Amino acid sequence: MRAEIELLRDARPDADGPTPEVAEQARAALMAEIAGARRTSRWPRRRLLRIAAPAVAAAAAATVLALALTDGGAEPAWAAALVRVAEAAPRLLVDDGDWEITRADQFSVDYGEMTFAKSGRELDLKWTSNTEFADYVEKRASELADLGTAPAAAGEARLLRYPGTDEYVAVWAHGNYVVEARGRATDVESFKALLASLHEVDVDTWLSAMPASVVHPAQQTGAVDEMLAGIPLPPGFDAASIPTSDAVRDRYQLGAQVAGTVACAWIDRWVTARRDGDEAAVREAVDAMATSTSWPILREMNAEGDYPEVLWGLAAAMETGGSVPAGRPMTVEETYAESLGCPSS
Amino acid sequence: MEETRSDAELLAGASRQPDLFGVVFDRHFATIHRYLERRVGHDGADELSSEVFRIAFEQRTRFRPVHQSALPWLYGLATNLALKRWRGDARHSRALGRLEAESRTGEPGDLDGADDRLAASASRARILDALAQLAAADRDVIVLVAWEELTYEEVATALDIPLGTVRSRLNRARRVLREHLPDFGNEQVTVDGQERGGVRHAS
Repeated sequence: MRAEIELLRDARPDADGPTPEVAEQARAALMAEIAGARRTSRWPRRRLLRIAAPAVAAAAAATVLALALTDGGAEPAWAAALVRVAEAAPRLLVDDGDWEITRADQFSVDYGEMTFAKSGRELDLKWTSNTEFADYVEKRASELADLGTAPAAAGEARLLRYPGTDEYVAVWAHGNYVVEARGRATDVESFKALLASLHEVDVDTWLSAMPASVVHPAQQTGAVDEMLAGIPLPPGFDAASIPTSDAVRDRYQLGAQVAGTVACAWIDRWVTARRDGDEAAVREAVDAMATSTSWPILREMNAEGDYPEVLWGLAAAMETGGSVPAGRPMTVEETYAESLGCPSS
Repeated sequence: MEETRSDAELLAGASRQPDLFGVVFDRHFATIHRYLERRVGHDGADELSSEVFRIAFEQRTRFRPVHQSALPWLYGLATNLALKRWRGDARHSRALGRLEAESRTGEPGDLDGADDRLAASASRARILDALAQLAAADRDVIVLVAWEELTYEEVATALDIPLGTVRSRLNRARRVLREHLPDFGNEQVTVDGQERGGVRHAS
């Protein structure tokens, strides 16, 4: 019965395996991917905890997007910058009131992404301009199984699936944008049905559907000040050095920017002090970072994702002189800039 | 300190601590590279094996811990990438042709004489030719069993197909191989140069 198998086994071509250079390049590419995942929205998040402590909830309420200025119960008035984004972007919602937007990471006129969720199912949606549709599709089709086409939001999408999984992807052109929807489904028909339920809505409807975690551009300065509360700042630290943008951004992302910029500044000082043999400055930086487990913004973010834990891991390694897990153990100095997304000096 | 956690445990942790995925890479990159080398040649393996781990990392939260090892899952991703490459640019026959050439120029192993080496090389080429005649889905199954020594259950996981489908594809692959190698059942010299009773044909 197994004779053909044995025959084939005997004919198995020799394989040398990867050269050390190839293995190292592949590992470096993977590590870059991992570093990117740590500091961007692609970081896996835990479920958003909607019910926060009253103080936190109050602080968040002061900075959320939904400060629609109602005028005697009339139409909400949105900030001009936000309306510009909304007018340009594909304003897509799932045609089922039970699907909610649970995540809307920083998005601008050129790029945005959000997650819809319903009963444990999720659909990620992202859109980007400045991209050739054909190139985008070709790249995605080169890595995924091609399932043909399907209707999506008044267009026709290329339907793909991650090989060996129940995770589907649809890509279509929407005006000047390339839109990608991605989610798991029991079968392709189920995913097609979800895809077909995406429809474009008006600006008010779309903005009103945003989660309360989205920070309005005009509110960023106030939000940054609020997030800095309870964080010891390095001598000479200027809050204006925290990068801001005119993009709408998720509170989690802004929090990572704020806490990360401060932590990067402390670790920069720590690295310099160690090199210079300045024990007092080393101790000061270690002590400051040791307080990071109680930084309010990190505690708030810890309900959503892993950025705080990465930062706390670095703080612990500074204290003990230990290493940080990064596939292989790495020192704080080797890994902190990539781990935290520190601004390049 | 050596990491003792299973792949399943590491991948579960990697959803929150992405760095753990580096351990999975270190464990399996060379194995996946060698598999792809056999299927698409050395250059293609350099490119695709890296892509396998990029996709695996992207899908790390989708890993289903049917087995403690991530290898079947990684084999599945690698198989799909290899298949896409073949379909995409018709390199299939070229890749197999290259493999045949590499096999012919490989080390002679324990063969004693030039005639035996020549016969073994020709036999290997014929077997690889026959393999190329199989439907892709059937070839994937038999290659994973014969070359990578996966169990039927692991092949089912790798290719995301039921166990019964693994068996039926394997049977079909074996039958087609027999059809393309009718005289192998009577030959005494096989690819390793050792005498063997030959392929037993089903009655």
